[in-house]
Amino acid sequence: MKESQYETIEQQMTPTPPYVVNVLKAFLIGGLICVIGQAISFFYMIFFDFTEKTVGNPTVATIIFISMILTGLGLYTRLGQFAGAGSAVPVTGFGNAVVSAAIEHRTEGYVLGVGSNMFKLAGSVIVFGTVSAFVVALVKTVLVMLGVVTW
Amino acid sequence: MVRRFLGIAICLLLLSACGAKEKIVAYDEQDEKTKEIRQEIEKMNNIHKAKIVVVDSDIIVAIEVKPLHSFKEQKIASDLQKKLEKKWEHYDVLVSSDFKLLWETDKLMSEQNKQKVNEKIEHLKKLAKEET
Repeated sequence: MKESQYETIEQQMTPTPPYVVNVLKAFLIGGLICVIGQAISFFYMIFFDFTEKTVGNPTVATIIFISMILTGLGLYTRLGQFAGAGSAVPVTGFGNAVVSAAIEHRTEGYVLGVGSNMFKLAGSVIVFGTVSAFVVALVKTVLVMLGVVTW
Repeated sequence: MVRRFLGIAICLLLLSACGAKEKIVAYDEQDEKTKEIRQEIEKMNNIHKAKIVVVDSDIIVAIEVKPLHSFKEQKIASDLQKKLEKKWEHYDVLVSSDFKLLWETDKLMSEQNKQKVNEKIEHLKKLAKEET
């Protein structure tokens, strides 16, 4: 069998993924996670001394904590299977990436297993997040120095 | 059945959101400065809700902008702040579009004890300056 023949057979056999349904599921679940996040930030603003400027930190921490607990209980996997990107793109995906890697490598020991593999996936998020934040801050500083925008 | 119910619910939600009246509430409605600030806010078409507190030398205005203008809410707040500062140079003016300030000033509206109001205003000023 030629390579091209194999490819055509393979393409015929592979089921086409339901893109529209997947996008809708991701939109709905991702949106739901954001609604929960908004509710948590309102909770912090109403019952504690947080303003809209400062409420981001505790809200993100809480959301990550919840997703970590759900991952540990094995519930986040189900959500991920159903919603796909909708569960990975919000900050909950970060918590999930950290804990699932830690659980996966638990048998290899605490140092070489959990410790060294915990940030296997989330490490790139941290590195590129920090680098892009630095670049954005640099651009803004230059623009402020030139007098184009103000802080 | 479910579809019909959903349709009615969505229509009701949309209509109730559109029909919401503009609300500007002040701590002391009879105060001259409050009346002027109210006029100033009414002139700006992009403010949906506002709470005005004028006590001694402090002016606190907490605003909520209309949904379509929410991307520019900080600019709207700073514009109003500049206008009020220009008008009352010797007053301590604070205009904010922060939800926390709107919520706290709303609680102030029913407070009768002036000392408590002053304490609360000091606290709000501190909160507004908080960055981290």
